[in-house]
Amino acid sequence: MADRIRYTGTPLMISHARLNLLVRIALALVGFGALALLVVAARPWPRYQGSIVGAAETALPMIDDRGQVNAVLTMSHPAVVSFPTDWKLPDQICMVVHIQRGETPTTLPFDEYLPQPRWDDRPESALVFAPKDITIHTEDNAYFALADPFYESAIESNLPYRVQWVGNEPILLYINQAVDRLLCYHANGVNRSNYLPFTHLIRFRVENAHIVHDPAFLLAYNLDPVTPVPDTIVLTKVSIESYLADLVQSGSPVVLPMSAAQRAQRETESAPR
Amino acid sequence: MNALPADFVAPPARNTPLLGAFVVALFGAAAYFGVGLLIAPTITALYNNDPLIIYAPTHFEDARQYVLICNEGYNVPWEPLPTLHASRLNWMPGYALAQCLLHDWTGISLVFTGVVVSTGAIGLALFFGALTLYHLAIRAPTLHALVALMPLIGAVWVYLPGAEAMFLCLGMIVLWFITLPSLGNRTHFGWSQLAQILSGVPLGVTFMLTKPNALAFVAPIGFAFAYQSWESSRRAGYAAGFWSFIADMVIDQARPILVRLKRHGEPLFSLNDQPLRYEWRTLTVAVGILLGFAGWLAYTSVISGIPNYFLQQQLEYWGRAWTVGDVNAMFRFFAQAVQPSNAHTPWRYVAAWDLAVVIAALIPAVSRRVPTLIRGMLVLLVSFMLLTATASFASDRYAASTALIAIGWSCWLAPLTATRRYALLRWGFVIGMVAITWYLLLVKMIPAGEPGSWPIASDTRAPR
Repeated sequence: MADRIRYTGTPLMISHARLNLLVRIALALVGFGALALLVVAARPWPRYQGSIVGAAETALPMIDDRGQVNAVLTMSHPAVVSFPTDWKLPDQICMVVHIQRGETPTTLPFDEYLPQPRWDDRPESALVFAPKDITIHTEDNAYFALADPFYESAIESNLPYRVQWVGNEPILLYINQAVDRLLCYHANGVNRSNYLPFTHLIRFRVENAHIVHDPAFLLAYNLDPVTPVPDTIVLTKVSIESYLADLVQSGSPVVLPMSAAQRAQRETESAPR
Repeated sequence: MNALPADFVAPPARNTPLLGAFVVALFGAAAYFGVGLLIAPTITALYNNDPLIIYAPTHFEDARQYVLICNEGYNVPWEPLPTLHASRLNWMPGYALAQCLLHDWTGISLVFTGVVVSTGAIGLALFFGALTLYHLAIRAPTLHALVALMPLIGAVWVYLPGAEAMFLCLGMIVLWFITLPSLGNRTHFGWSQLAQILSGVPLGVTFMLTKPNALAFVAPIGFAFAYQSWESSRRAGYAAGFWSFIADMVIDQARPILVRLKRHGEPLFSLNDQPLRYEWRTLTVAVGILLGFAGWLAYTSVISGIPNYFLQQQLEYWGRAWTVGDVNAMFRFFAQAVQPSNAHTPWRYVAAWDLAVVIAALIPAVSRRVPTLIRGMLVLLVSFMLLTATASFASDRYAASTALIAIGWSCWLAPLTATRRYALLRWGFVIGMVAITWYLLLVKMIPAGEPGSWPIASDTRAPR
């Protein structure tokens, strides 16, 4: 008989009524939890929240739809830059852009038809910053146009500086990585091109992340009356030579003076043959 | 010497068919894998040797999304409110998570992880199916668990490999869980019994997070809770019928409030003590399903920014053959199956296929051979499917992968007594049905890119 007696419970014995009470309490808690979740589901949550308009020399975050900071952007040295008349190049708006990647992972867009041979690939770990991620908003709906390679070659041929440009190639940003680039641009409108708007908003985004809060700057040039809106950055005109010299003097990594050998090479290349 | 509590007395010796269930699981997994290999060239050929497609399961579009959830995570719609743009949030995370873990732990390519997960799931489904049939006192449970392998019943091989296999597996675990020996008539409970009861909540949540069709189980499980509780109460001396028990059960839940209601210091109600016993373990699964649904709804709403986003997608974005609740349109859809003038059009086979699944589910539901518990659950399941989920395209797998239909058919096939006079005839009927559906599927549907999702024929929308 003894070997047929087995113990099927634990030492703590719960009566039927106590069990009913405990289970009812547990079910009520779970039910209230589910109700709370339904309340959460029924309210709208923030999506694109617009731009954070900031001042120069201020770190502005790029926030994704999970509220995480994907990157921080700092803009400095904004100016309208003029070029020597014999270069025959129109004025440009220039600024130094510093982007610091955070620790947030990338989030790729919906790709319904990703080819099967790529199923095992991990998504790119880099945020991507490219000219198409920059937009300007003007009163006449002009669009952003990067300073073309003529500017780069003219500067390198005539001035003793090497410049890190925001070029046409995308810039990859890995975890905790930072880049500094010189950005020069103008506006192109419907009936005119290569001009400077009196006021405009410039916005910055990155790819491989769903940015709902992007940094932006409100810039004005030749505006009268001056600065009607708070946070407007008023641009002043400087020559390209003094602009680059100031950047070198301030220690900005986007402009480096050429070495003696590099200057000699450029002089040789530009000498008449 | 004090008398021992009833819980300390050993129950009669029982022989749980663990070994048989294990053998059936191995056989089922091997058969599933083998059939998958057999039809793989036919299905992959549909893609015209596209070099970007190495191996195409029958439900390739879904398979692709589950893999990409694993690799890239969920995306959110980019449009401003309101949006009906598709999002990967429509595919539940359970099957994707299983593939992620398998890929990370073993290095198996994500092209094939679905096959492995589904094969394992089928083995487990048959294992727990056999144990469920044993709990239901069905004869030869290991043999009859094999019914889940048959098309139109278990939807096991129709969608190779798919989330349906994992959903079927979890459905079978749920059925095994709710048919475990009753706890209702114990006099005392330990923490292990309490833990067993409450473990239904995470089981229900997991079930829901595998496929939203788990919602179709809420009403059947609610019925099972009431029915099993009534049975336990009758064993404890409760004498009234089922509907009276429902009323008594509702009153009993309100008892703590009712006994406190007083007028002029006198109790407002006089409540008799009834020997009511509750099978809480069953109810916790339904509560878990609802919790999982609420959680997923909240998650998708928060990350998309759109109120009730998941529900909106399922009801608005997902294509439907007929509007939910539109019985007239539902009959028009099914009537296409028997329109002789359209004998060679693919949507006709789809309507026939869907109709066959519904009818197949109702055969065990109306048979007295099947335990009342399963019959009641089946009727509620099919009703829910017809009114809501089945209205969505490609509806057959929704119903057929619930495990309940497979259990219903298993019960219908098994002989009630030792006499097996008609069991072979019933098996013959099922095998004949399998042969017809096999022919229909392999010869008529798959080569034409079906089973696809087709609306009513007069609707000119392209198949999804």
